[in-house]
Amino acid sequence: MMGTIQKDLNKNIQILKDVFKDCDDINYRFIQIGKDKRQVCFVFFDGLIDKQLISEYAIQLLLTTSESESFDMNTFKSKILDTIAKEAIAIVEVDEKTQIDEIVDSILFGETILLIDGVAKALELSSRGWATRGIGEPETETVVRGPRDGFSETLKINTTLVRRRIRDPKLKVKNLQIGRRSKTDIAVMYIEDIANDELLKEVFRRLDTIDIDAILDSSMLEQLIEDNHISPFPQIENTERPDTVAASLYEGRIALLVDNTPFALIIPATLGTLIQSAEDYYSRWTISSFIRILRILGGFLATLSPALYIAITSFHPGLIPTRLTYYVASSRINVPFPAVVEAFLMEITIELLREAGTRISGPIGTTIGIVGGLIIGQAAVEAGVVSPLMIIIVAITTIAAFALPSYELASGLRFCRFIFMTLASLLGLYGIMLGVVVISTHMAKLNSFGIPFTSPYSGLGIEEGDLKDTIIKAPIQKLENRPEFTFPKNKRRFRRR
Amino acid sequence: MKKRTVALLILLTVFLSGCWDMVEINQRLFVSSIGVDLHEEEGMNKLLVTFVYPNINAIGKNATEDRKKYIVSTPCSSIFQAGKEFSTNVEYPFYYKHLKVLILGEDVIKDEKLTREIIDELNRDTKINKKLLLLVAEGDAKEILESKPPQGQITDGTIYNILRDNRSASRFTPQTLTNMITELDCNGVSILPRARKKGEELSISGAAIIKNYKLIGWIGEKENRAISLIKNKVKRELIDICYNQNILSYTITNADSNKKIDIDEYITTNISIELEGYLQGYKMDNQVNIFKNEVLLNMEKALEKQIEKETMETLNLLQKEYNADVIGVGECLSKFHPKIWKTLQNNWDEVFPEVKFNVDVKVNIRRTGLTK
Amino acid sequence: MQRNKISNRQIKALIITIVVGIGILSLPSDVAMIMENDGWIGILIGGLITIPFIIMIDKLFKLQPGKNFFQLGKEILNPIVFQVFLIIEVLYIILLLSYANRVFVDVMKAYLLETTPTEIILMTMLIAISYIARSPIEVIARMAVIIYPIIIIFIIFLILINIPNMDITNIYPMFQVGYKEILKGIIASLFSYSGYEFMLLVLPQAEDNKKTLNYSLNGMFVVIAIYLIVFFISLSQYGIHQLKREIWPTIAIVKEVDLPGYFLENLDGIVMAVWVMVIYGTIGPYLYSAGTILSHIFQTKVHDIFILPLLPIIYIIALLPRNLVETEEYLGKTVSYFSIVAIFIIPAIMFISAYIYNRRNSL
Repeated sequence: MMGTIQKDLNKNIQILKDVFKDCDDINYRFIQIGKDKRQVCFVFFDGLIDKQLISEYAIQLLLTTSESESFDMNTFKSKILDTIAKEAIAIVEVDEKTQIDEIVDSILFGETILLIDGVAKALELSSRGWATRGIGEPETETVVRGPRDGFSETLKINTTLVRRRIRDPKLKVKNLQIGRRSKTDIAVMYIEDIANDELLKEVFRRLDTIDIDAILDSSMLEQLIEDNHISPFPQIENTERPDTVAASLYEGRIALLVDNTPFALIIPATLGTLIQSAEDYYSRWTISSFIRILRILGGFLATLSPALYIAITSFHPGLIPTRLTYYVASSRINVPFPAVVEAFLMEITIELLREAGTRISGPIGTTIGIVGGLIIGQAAVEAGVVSPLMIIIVAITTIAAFALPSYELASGLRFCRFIFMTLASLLGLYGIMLGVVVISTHMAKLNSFGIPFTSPYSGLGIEEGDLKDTIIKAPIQKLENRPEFTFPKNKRRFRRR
Repeated sequence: MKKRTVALLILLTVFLSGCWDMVEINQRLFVSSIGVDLHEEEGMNKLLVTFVYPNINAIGKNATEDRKKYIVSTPCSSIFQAGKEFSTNVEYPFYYKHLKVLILGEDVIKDEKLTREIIDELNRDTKINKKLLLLVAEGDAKEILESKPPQGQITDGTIYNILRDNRSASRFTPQTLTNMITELDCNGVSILPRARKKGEELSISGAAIIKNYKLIGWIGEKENRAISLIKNKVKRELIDICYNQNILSYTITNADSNKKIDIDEYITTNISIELEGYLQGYKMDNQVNIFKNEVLLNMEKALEKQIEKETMETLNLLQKEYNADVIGVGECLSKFHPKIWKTLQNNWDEVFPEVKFNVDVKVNIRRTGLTK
Repeated sequence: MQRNKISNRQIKALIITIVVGIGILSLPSDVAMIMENDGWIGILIGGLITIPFIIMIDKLFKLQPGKNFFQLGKEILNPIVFQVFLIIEVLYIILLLSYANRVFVDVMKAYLLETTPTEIILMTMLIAISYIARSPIEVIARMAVIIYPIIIIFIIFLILINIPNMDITNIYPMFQVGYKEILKGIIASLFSYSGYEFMLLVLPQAEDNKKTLNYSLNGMFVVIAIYLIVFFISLSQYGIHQLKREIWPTIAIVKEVDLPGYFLENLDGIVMAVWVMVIYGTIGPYLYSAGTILSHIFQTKVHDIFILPLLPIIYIIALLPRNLVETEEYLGKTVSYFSIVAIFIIPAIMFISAYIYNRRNSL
């Protein structure tokens, strides 16, 4: 608490200078206006504000207006700020402040504060404007057909992008600030007459309990509010696409947009929603159903194929056809390691390559990909360290993991893959099955804001026909109701005329 | 937290103490066929067991050796005992899940006790594939296994591939382990394909008749074909008959047979066989010679007569010479006339030769090929 | 936002996953031993017998709506009698779990892991089921919905792969069996239907009270259908003599299937995979109910503290029989006697006393 603004400008400036001690990027711009040459001061952070805006529509206008005859500061008395705001400033948002704390915050957010000597109030001029990235194509969720705009780092732009898709006064945007120091802006978006009240209350309750110094990215917020933070699986969806957010809002879900993050969070997330991609809804239902099935297959392959390789080659060669058995045996004849070591070796290599590839982008990244993928693989096979079949298996797992639209889910499954490999090396197929049942139980145990993670497969919504939009995606005409798992207040989505 | 760590450590030590069932795929020997012969009449080691397993080094892209398979044999008391006997001179343990073919030597299968032992051993084991194909060797099984394949070696065994290929079904009838046991359970009689050597080469044709786990005789290809027709096991077959001094070839594309038993004074079995097919060949002529309905009808009649004759001959042979109910009259009785079967069950061997047969063959020539 | 309710479909799935368990493996052979080709009569009647008891359990909670099994028991029965009932149930569950685990381990050893010690397979399975048993009942219900389509798909798969080489005439002769055998066959099949008594814990949590009976009966009919299908398939595949010879015909028939040229040659791996799931879906809920009953006997709030102490007991009992024959003869027999008490007598007594209690109170 730093008290209220005082009448003496110099004192106020002194207080501010104390607060912003050693902050060399702060600017104090003094000018004198009116006949009595009264001191006024603009306080702002360099770089956070739109300089042109302030100089043209605040400073310049104030100076020229104050030149005029009718503008006499002394006559305004208590209405001085009001008059200045009304007559001498041409900025959209203007607000009066009385507390020092408030103006400190405003300055930090990129507003400009106008302090006038002899007035115990300050004027906050909305002037946020900094270099932004602009609206680009989403990099992680590109589609062949569908909108190409993606979120950027600025919250205002992001909410606008969503608002443009939902032109309904029922779309509510609630602003919050989280982070003791970072004071990150967070927008909670929902459609009032669709989203379930209890769900909404729960979201606000969890947001309220957060006490942390800084939120740098939406993923931090995600980890803070999800139900089970130990689980490898995500319980909140994230997306870079405003159309996905809009579609989710129409389903009765709630979106959290965080400033400085191009990723929005969508609550709740279930296994069903995590394998949906925006493009499913833009393509014809036959192909999107087919691709859904492929994705599920991809999920299983990415998780289980190395484990199955170990189980079959080291434990149960009787399960595969005779000719294949002979082939596998002959391909492994010179491999010095057991299948487990071979599999771990290759899987860890590929994870390393992947990590290196994501860290280094551009031409060097491509080089690493080529060196890793082609040369090491080729050399390893020729040197007889691994069998060619293992290379195929590793390639399948890596590619299959990318088929899943949710990166977080794919990462969770990637982690499980190593558990499965360990289990397979101890107990063969039985070990794998134990892993499968235990991990399915874990998934069944997970909740996303009180909504079963496995819906609509096993939790909620089977009765109501939510399965129409899971493994297959029925034509839009058949998806008459919103999915049941969010308990939407308004159920009807499509109506025949 | 400490408790959890301790529990985890205990678990880890238990697990790390051994991966019990782990044997690498390249450290197993996959037995593909087994032959069983008689070694000596007395003593424990009555059998001479031959294992055939592929040489993994000779398979695949990087084959380094030429020899495709290894054949080892040893005298022993049972099949799995043989596997253990071999462990003294082969590097890896044997793995039986890919076992496809079992050849029983003539001498072994003549001994009911030995056969029963072998079959039980195989049927009881968890690793043995119950689709295992059985054959009887005329002579020694080992010789059959050692015979040279007609063309290059196929990885999973020539004999297996010949047997699996059902297109030549009526020269021999492949018999799986379970199927044979089921037939022996129901009828007491089953047939197994006969393997023999034609010079250097191997040939599978005809069948051995097994009654109560004992070999009682052989039948040839023609008889086997008749039995297959009655048992509805023919899928595709070519039948040649003499028609107007020319050879008439008829290809069967579909065969269907039915058994019905009438009981009055005698037990009468009505067998009706319906064949569909097309004309494969007759003779070249200067004018249209067969594209007439009456000609085709005549041909059909001739075919019917011939097939009927063959079938009746076979049935006679089975009834009078072998007294073996291969075609399953007893089974049919037990299923559809269980009360009568109960009275006949115990002296079926005396009743079966008295059973009367009516064979009714219907041949349909559906197409005549490309020419009239 | 928590909805601790069990939906109707989950009730159906629960009935199927819990009831279809170890029984399915040996049932065809067991009834064929007694009733020959007419084993299906035993399976069918055995299944139909359970139906009045399911209705009783359902009506029990409708007589006293809003109360769970334990509150109901304390109210309508003498508290000591009720405690004795609970203890019998717990003993039954412990024995059943030991028996199921032992059979499970023996099957695993026969088909997949030959030299892995029994103790290890048993231990890992117990640890795995303790995970589901410690979760709340909704998780068990959700798990059931995941497992149940797998069972159904597996049965369809079983039918499809068996059609090409089965001999339908093997199911003849029909109706050759005497009354005495029918009775014996029914008793032999009854144990395979145990598991529906789990409804005593589930129904009070049901979301929609009106339709529960429909769905639970539906579930039971599916179970009867599954058992009949399995019986007929194994009979037509094997013929009666070989069927009687097999210990676990349901697995063995899959080994008979020949799918040349397909990726999987020996399909027993698939069966084993499904089998682990089926058993998990059966014994997980049982362990859960043992924990819940114990928590009511000892008046504790949570059930999961009893799960881990139960594991060593089950482990020891499961390892007591020397071999499979002893398992069947001692453990199996004991469990089937207990099951008659646990699944028929106790629900029936509960229902009758609730009925009398209601009468008395309404007068």
